[in-house]
Amino acid sequence: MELGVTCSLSVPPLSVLLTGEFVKPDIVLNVAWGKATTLEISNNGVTLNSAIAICRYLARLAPSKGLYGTSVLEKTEVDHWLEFTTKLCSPSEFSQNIKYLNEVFQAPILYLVGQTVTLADVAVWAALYQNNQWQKLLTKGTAPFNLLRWYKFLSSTEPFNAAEQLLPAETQMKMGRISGKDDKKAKSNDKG
Amino acid sequence: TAPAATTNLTNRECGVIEQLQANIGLENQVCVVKDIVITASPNYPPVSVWIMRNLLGQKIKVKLSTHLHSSLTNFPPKIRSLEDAVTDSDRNDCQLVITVIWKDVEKDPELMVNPIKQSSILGEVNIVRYLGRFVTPGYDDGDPITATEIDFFLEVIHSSFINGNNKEKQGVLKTANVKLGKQTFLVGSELTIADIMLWSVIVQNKMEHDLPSNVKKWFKSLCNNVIFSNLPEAFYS
Repeated sequence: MELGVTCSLSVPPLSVLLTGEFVKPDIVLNVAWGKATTLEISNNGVTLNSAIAICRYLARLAPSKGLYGTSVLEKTEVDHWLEFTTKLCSPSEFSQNIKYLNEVFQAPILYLVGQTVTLADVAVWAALYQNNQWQKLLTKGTAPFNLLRWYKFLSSTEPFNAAEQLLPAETQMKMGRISGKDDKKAKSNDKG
Repeated sequence: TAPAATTNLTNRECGVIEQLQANIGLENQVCVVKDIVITASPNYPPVSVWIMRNLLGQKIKVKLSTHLHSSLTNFPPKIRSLEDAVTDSDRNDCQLVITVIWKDVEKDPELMVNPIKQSSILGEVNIVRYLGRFVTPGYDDGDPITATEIDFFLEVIHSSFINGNNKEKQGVLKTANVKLGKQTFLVGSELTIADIMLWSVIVQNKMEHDLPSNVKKWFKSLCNNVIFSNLPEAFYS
């Protein structure tokens, strides 16, 4: 099944793009970049314009991938984390939310819900990855230990390790993920 | 002492695993008692829990009881009358036992999950999703589009109504008003947890007398439905 999704250039919905990688090959996501993030369901007239709603829809179209958990309780735990993500990076709550996440990962768990990756991991990881405050903690080496363990673990696995390539080049620049040095090099290459 | 300590820990872990497996089993067959414990602030009573109790009660035997946490200082007396008038001996006949503990907590009520994991489930919208999965069929057992539309509406209620200012609340009501001008219920052709949740937050915010016309009509028609009846009066008169 093929689906077309328009992704916002100014606020790239990384959670949607990562979920798209997980639901392959059952669902193939054709990404177009534009003003706002939307997914139109052609046979129904419904338009989803929330990244989280699109993630939910994709997970439900590919139930065999287990992205929404496997039991009634797991599904609701996933919902808890999806709602949490919507306010995770609000500047006034950021440090409190990071502390909370770190407490959660004090338990000997690899994933937020159950025994495999779910939308909960995808959404929380993507929100942190795209957050400047979190990136600063990483650079300064002051990210809390347990949370960092989970973040690094996911970052070393597919498709999280290639998240950067899912984003448009100009966003990668803006996020400062291309260091100043590389930037200069790129510029001098341009000259050359 | 190290080996003994390890053995103790292993025994405890086994106990926890058994407990977990028992819990997983319960979800699949609601013929044994299933306990749900929710802590909530009396200032933000999760009205939807009572509606879901009434809805689930049409098919299975449900008991709802409330407790006051000792930390509580200020308590509206009316809320206590919402307890089911059944004795403790009835407990074993029930398939679902819901306990609401009134406590000095933040806005979001909390669903206690299990003691070994630190996390619990926060927010009335998530509790209504959980209870909505005990209805047969569950709200997300069918068409993925309908389920996602319901979830999207709940997401909006959580971020823009419960945690929103007055202007954002009015925005949610406006969206609902447009939808309810074309259809009887918020999503699809039947009553869903999206309706239950919006109705709940309207009652909690005492906004039932100040609604846009289509929402007002919808609100009144739900009040005539047996699963909603008497609830606004019970919570706030």
